[in-house]
Amino acid sequence: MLKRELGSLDPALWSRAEVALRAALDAPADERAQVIALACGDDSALRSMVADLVAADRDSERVIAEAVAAGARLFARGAAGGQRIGPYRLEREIGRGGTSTVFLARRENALQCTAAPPVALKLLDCGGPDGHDVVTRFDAERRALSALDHPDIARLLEVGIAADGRPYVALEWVDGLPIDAWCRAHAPDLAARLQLFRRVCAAVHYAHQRLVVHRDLKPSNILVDSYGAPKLLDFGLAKLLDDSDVWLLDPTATVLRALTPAYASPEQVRGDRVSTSTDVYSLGVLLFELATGRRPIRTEGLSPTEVERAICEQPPSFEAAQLPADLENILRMALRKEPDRRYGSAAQLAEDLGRFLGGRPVIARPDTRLYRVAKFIRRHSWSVAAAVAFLALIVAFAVSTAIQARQTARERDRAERTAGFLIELFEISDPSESRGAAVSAREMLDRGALRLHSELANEPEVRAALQETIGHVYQNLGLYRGAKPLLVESLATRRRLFPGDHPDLASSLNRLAVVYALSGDFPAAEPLFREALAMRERLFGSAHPVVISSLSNLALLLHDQGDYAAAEPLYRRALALDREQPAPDSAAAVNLGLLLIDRGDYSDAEALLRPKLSALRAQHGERHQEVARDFGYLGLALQGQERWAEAEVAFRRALAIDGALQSGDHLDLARDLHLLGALLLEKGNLAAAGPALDRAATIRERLLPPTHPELAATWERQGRLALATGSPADLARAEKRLARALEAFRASLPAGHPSTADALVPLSELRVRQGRCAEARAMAHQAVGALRGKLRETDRRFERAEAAVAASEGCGTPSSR
Amino acid sequence: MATLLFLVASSLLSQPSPEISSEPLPVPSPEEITQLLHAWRGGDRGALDRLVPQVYGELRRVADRYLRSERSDHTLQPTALVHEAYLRLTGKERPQWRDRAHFYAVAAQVMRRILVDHARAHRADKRGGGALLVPLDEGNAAASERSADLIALDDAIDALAKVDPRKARIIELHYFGGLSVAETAKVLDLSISTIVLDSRLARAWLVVALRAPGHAEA
Repeated sequence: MLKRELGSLDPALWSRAEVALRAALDAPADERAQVIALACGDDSALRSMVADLVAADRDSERVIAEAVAAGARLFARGAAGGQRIGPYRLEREIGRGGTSTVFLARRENALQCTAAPPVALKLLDCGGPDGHDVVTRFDAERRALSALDHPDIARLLEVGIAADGRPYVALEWVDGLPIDAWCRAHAPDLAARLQLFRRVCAAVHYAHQRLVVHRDLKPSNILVDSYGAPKLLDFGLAKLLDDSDVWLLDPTATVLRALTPAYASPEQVRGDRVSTSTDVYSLGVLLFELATGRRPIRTEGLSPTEVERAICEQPPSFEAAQLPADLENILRMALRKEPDRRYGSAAQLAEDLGRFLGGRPVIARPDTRLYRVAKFIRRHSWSVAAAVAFLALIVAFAVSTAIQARQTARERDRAERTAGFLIELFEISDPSESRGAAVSAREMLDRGALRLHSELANEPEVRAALQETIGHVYQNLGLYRGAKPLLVESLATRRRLFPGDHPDLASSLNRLAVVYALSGDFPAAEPLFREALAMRERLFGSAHPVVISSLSNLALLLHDQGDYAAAEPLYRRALALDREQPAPDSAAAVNLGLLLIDRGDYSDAEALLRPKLSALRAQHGERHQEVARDFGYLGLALQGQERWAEAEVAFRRALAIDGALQSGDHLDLARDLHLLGALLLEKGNLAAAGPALDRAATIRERLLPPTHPELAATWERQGRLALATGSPADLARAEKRLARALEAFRASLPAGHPSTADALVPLSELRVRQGRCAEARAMAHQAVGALRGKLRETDRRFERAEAAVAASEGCGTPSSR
Repeated sequence: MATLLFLVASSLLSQPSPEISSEPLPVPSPEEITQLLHAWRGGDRGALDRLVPQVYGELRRVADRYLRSERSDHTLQPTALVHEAYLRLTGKERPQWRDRAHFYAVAAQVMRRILVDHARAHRADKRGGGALLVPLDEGNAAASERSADLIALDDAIDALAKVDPRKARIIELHYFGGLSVAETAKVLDLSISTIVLDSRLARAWLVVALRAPGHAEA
């Protein structure tokens, strides 16, 4: 009845109502009816109006606030309606993320007879005058994304720049509900949910195989349509957004702001490199949510620092979830904090779920006790307590190894597992953590080694095995000096114990030789490798994998020393055996390929490497460490033939694969960067070469001993780059880099090794410029000497060395000026 | 005061239709804004004409930016937008209550006009070309219902203003401008207890008006 009077309310009536209302509101609740009756008298219309007003009083605050707030939300959503972005006309806003806004849009149609299909247009908040850079810079990314053609993945239609400089992405429009909302709405049983989830995994795996990582999997990115089919949105876009962070106007932008913390993996919140395992983690969170209705880790109401801590440290909470044990194990495995301990792929996760659904045993297992000890040690930064725990493990290992001599095969397995664990423990230990931690790790090893020296004298066999194990650990940590005495002692003990041939003795010989070789002591390594090879041939015949491995080791040693003539037949022998009975880790073909490259036989190298690469890709798929490595070597073979563009593609592919595989700095990445940087340098693209080489150097400096030839090779390229740039400051830098490189080559390689020429030639060029002609001449001649006989004389490396000789001969004479 | 309020309303009517296509205005300095506020308080009508578009533009910008954060859907309040717009326009250090209150008095009406015009446009849209679009989620459907709420509220406030302009103004200042009771009291030169009581009575009246049958379709 008020409605009728809305437009023409009588002020007199309102003021009477107001008087009655005031009186009613003033009165206690149980007296209000009486007060209203008194105030309104006989006017029943007035009485009912006042009663309505009193009733409305209770939640009037909320009703009005909500109406206003809803209007504001609506305003916010539609604020951009009608705007034109690229060829699209925005219709309405459908969502906002940390760094972008999504609109429903349609392509503007010149002929307006049919409505264009809708698209989801994602407009980034960043951008600026250089917006076009985004598009060119992420061209490769964009092509990878547009190549994703899977029925369960929304297609990327276009990447472009709006008139105001903001980049946008147009995606296939998907009509569906977020997967969590869909499950709430349709309430499918657990098995149906898991099947739906497996389909999501399959789509994710498809993208992973094409080197695209989603990086932001969450329910709102996984829609389910009315047929119950999932559709994944925004594949790879997180990376596009992340990489364009430089354009963000807000300098305080953090990873957490852009990501959805609840689904972010530990490596993401730490800002480490993400990989396909990152998606596996997010899938784990999603699976947890679909299975339990909760998230594995509570992040609501926490500060960013607390969220980061919770994600990195807090285990998923299964309390009250009452899941079947196997499903819980699957979830734990998908949600592991360490990327490399999760399922290797989304497909594996799906397969394990399939096993669970089929009632078959799953792969996922709870953490072992040993693993938990290891984790404890790692978490406590190698404290004294950790040292004690480590020694306890050594003793446990010693005891079980002692039992091994007389007991069953089962006990032996356990002992071997323990040994394997010890190695794993140190392999897992991240040398990239603090320097202090590495020192403590070393202290612990030193203590273990010391105890071994004085104890277990009456168990020489066990002691030798332990010494070899710990020596191996030293080796893995790059602490060759610590490894040597242990391995020497282990070898001596075994020589005493086994006067004739014995597999353990051969293993000791091989291990010590490897350490000698790695630390650059080639003369000491060679006889040991030869002895191990001969012994293994006698023990196992000529075609056994360990024999091939010994052959390859020896060949690599000779190769590294620059003795290409002696190395080649050994490689070829290993290769021939390898083909008869392929050893899984044999790298003979690749190493031979490298040798051919070093010698300048580039097309032969290409012919050797291509089939090897095809076989590897057929076996492992594209995304594999060795595939990346071989792309790099193939690139070298192509570069040698001056097929620059093909070489660059090969290097970039290697980089893309390793970039997706490795989290954090890794020597493989350094290798790829070095190769790419060196190619760009040779092509004269100095501006692009610099950053690649600098990053390669940073990684190698951190992970390699300071005289390592690979590190020296990167310094040498940096030196050449500085030399080519040519300003006085650059020349000083060039000199420093080249001198360091030469010094490192000399310290780690035999005199006259061809690699030394690579540093000598540019140094000689520099000396000519400085007018230090005598030095220049000496260096150039040394360089030619190092290359002669190793390399074809028509090779670019050789020609450059000869040019350096010529330049140095002309140095100081008037004609050179 | 009544004259001033009327001036605000008329200058709003002379604004171009509040669509995003309006080109960006030169952003005045905090000092200029403060001066405009002072001038307006001193009775300068031109100051208000210059102030309103600035307030309008800043509110749009703030709203746009504010709503990009993920939490926006839960915590968005126009008053927060007005507050932020004020801080951005006048600078943050030591805002004088009087300037602030008067700024809010302008902003409240601007804000109301922005939101209501949009809700009306949205509803017209829904009725016209809406058939083409399938709502993405329940959130959207709820939003279009709510657009009716805001329009109804706007109508109800207008109706209230006809019989009791002071109460309507109190509602507007509080809900669209974010003024506290004390600030509202100062802007309207009334006692705090009057504001509290008037606000309560006005709210009850508005809620009854909103709940009247058939009103949502008005």
